[in-house]
Amino acid sequence: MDRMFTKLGDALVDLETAWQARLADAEALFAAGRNGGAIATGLYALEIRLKVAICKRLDLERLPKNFEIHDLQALLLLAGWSRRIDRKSARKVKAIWDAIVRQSEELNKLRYTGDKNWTHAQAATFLNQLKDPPNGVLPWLSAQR
Amino acid sequence: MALSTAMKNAIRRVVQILRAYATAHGWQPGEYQIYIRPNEGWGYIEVILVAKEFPGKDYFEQWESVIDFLEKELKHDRPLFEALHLVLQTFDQVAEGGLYAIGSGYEEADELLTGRPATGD
Repeated sequence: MDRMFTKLGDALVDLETAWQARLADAEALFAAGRNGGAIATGLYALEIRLKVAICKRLDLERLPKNFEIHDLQALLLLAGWSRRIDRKSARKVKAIWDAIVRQSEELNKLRYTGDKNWTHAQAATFLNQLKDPPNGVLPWLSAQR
Repeated sequence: MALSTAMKNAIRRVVQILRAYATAHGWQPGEYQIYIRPNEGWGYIEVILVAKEFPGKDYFEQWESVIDFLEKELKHDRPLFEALHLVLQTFDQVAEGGLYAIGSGYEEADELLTGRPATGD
């Protein structure tokens, strides 16, 4: 394979470890009282987790460059689960998903403004929505086949 | 923002349904706000419904109250229902800001549909 071509897109194996590392980072930042950083890093974890799902769905070893996007709803669609989350059985997850998609649009603010804009309670709620079973988004994603 | 006619019609329909929900719960105009952020490229519409309070004991019950109403009214238009992302917020949360601030990507529904600033009455 051409040397340049091997540089295209992140490897699935790296994405698999990256989303878990970013989630651990989010928890560490939350524990340290860095609320904005915890939320932003948690959003990165979710974004990368969806990219893992896309690679698996499409049987790819690397994420195509064109899929290096940050739109969570678009990533869910590309993973093939955008309709599944609308089923009645997933209603509680959908309520949380919609809230997280809306919060993800604040990511630029999280990057460029001070931490005082995000309270500990907001960060706690966000992390619960992200990772707590049974209705957290990450556990739901992990349960999909 | 230049929206297609199809997207405008879809938003108009959703806003009408949410206004009917508001009326059914005795809310007066000005006691609630609807913010919209459409994404034509990926085919979805984000909706934030802001009110003083919502019926239901927790967020999920409140959200389900609204989403069930939308689903019933859109029972013959499943693609539109599935294109919706609904978030409920209170005016207090919006004032709190942070994750609950209404981002610049959202527009008040009337403003989006008419191009005129919302009057709030």
